[in-house]
Amino acid sequence: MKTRPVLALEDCLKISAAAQQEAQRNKWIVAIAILDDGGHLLHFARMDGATPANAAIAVEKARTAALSRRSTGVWEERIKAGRTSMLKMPGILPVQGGVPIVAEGACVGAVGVSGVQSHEDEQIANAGIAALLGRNP
Amino acid sequence: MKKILAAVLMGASAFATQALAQAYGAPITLDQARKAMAAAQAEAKKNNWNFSVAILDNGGHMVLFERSDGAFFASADVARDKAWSAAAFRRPGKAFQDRLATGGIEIRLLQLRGASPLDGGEPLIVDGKVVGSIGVSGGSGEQDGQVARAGVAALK
Repeated sequence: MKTRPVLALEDCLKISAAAQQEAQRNKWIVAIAILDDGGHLLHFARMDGATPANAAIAVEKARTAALSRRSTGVWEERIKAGRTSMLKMPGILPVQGGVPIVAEGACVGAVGVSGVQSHEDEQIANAGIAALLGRNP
Repeated sequence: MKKILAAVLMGASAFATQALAQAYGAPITLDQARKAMAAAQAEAKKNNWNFSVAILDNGGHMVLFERSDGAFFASADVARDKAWSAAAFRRPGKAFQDRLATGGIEIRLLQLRGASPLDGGEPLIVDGKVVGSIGVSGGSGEQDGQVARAGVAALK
């Protein structure tokens, strides 16, 4: 029988706290979503001043990364490179800031961040995941 | 007849009073949401229950969410639906649930867009104003309601 790691709430709290720290350090205001590998919500926090749109976008970025097992930045790059047909992919939000969490070779979920520039959103997501895995994702 | 009338009047006035007393205030802050979340999770932990808990602002948008280990994944969406209903209609899911249970014309509540007629959704009130809402799912309706109301009490 195969076994695989699963995100516990404790892991999510660690990711979210580190991500919020990274945002605060830079004076950024964001929403942070953590989903499991089925694309279902595990943890979410929206800092004061982040918009309702940020809430929805963070969740969708995370869902894209969780279900496609790829960062949303990769999807964005593909489209920028000219594969505009990728815009019709179901359930894909191709905007940087969603990062899959890969542990022991398996995708166990994803982090999505929205609120600042896309590459900064990704920086925050990476900081959260690094706090859990002890390395950059 | 008298009895029924009294019951109807009591029900109606309770509903009207509640609707009047709870105007929308400023949207909930993350700190307030954390306080309500901690109280709800403490209540759940005390009973060894696994839940999803969603806290929304008074526009129905998510502010804070936690799913504890072992909660079924549908609870995530159900908790949000319950919270959305409590924020949008400024009343607990239990109020809809009780009305629905009386049957007859009240079955129309099932057609009320976005309304969740399930115990476990409560408006969050600060200084008499609705600042947001809390939705809980994962246990029986009563357990969900108990955890949600622990969250409400933390802001009082």
